[in-house]
Amino acid sequence: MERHRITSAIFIFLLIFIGYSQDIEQPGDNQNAYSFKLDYNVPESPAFAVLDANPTTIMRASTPQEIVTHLASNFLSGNEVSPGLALDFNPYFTFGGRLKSVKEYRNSYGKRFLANLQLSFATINSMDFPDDMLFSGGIRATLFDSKDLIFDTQLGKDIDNALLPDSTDEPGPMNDNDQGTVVDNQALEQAYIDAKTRYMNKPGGSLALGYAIAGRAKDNSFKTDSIVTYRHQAWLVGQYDLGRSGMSINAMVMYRYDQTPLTTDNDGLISGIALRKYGQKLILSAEIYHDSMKESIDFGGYAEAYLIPSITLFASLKKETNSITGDEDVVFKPGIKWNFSQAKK
Amino acid sequence: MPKSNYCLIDPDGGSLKVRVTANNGIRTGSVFILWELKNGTWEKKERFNVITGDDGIDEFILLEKPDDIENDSLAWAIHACSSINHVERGEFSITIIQDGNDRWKKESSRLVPKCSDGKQLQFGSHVIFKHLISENLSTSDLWKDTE
Repeated sequence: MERHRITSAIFIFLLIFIGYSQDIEQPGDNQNAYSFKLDYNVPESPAFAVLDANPTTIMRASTPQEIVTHLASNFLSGNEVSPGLALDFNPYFTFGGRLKSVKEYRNSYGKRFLANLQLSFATINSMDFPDDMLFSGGIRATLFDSKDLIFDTQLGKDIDNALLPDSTDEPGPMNDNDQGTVVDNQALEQAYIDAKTRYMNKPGGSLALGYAIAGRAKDNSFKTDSIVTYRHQAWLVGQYDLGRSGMSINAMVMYRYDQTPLTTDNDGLISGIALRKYGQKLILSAEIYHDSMKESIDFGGYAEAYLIPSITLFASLKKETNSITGDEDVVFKPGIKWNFSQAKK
Repeated sequence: MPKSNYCLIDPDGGSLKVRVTANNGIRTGSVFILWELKNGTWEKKERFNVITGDDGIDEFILLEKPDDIENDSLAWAIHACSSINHVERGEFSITIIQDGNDRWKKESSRLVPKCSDGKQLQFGSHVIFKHLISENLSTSDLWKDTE
């Protein structure tokens, strides 16, 4: 156990040190493809939340970003964090939904609501039920986001100017490039680097609502009589970014209903706040929350670093009370978020 | 989809309007050039920058009169990318309109890279204008033309 704690401490130290050393670069210093992506404020997976596999308890409320695959792993800690996988995607566009234009996104609350829905599925092996597999599904809706990037009209203008062909791209009289080709455009990269700077300096708030359900496949069997519902939870989370300081405050209230026979207090509220500091490539946060089911106040720290293209490394250290034994322990949860939509290109 | 790269227009009709659309919040910047074949070489007559922007639509009117445009080529190059999360495909259309009638239309559905990835899709084509034969001409007049 002591060896794992030392390994954990070294991992966190390296994460923070490397992240901080790269964080002092100004926007635009690094022209690598991942540096200008606005994927550093990716909300947590709803399906992982219901399985307690997210590194933090207090979630974010911002608009979801693209398709993200979350991996939870115990590759370093060796404690009660179990390996698992979650895939988040948007059901509206995946199943053929369409938008007329950017203006329709801005003007129609209904379309914006659908465009920002996040559907999530996850599976995990739990130490609480070592012979079973836990799986879950969740949905998350952004009710409001004053920092939604699509409302950045300057970004729209910058993209339009970047796309406009110059005199060297003029089509000849018999032009025939109907198949099309995908090419790099440095001006588009710059437009997003500028947008990221504006985004980080802009104060604003967001509000999101989520629901998730978890099931348990006894003895890893997916036969009908082997599957039982394990947990339901619904939550409301608000976020306010302070702007230039790079600080953000999140507040969450969650209702959870457990159907496991091992617990006596089957339902209750989990509520708390988190303070986050956003850097260019490193996010540090601290959270404190009350769990009425365990009658405990817990807290934790979290670091998230963007050091490798398409991949986000994160790690959290938090005090948790075991729902079955009531024992308190400090749990280390490392993990990886993989930006699937970027990596597949 | 048009059957060919030929657009039939009424030489006595009104000016030609060109409309470009892109849906799903896809942004496009494009250039359209009207070329004329003179003495065996193509000469540039008109040039238009077209940005579909927030509305997903833009249009322009060709300055050349329809009577003088036969055999001219209208060529275009479109650059496009997706600005909305989760959107990877969009529908594009180019329509040539005269007196409220669609004279030629080309529609396509394409996979589009994300603007935030610093990538764009480039595609383009051209269309040649031809004059419509007047519907009022009698069969005997047509025979006279051929003679």
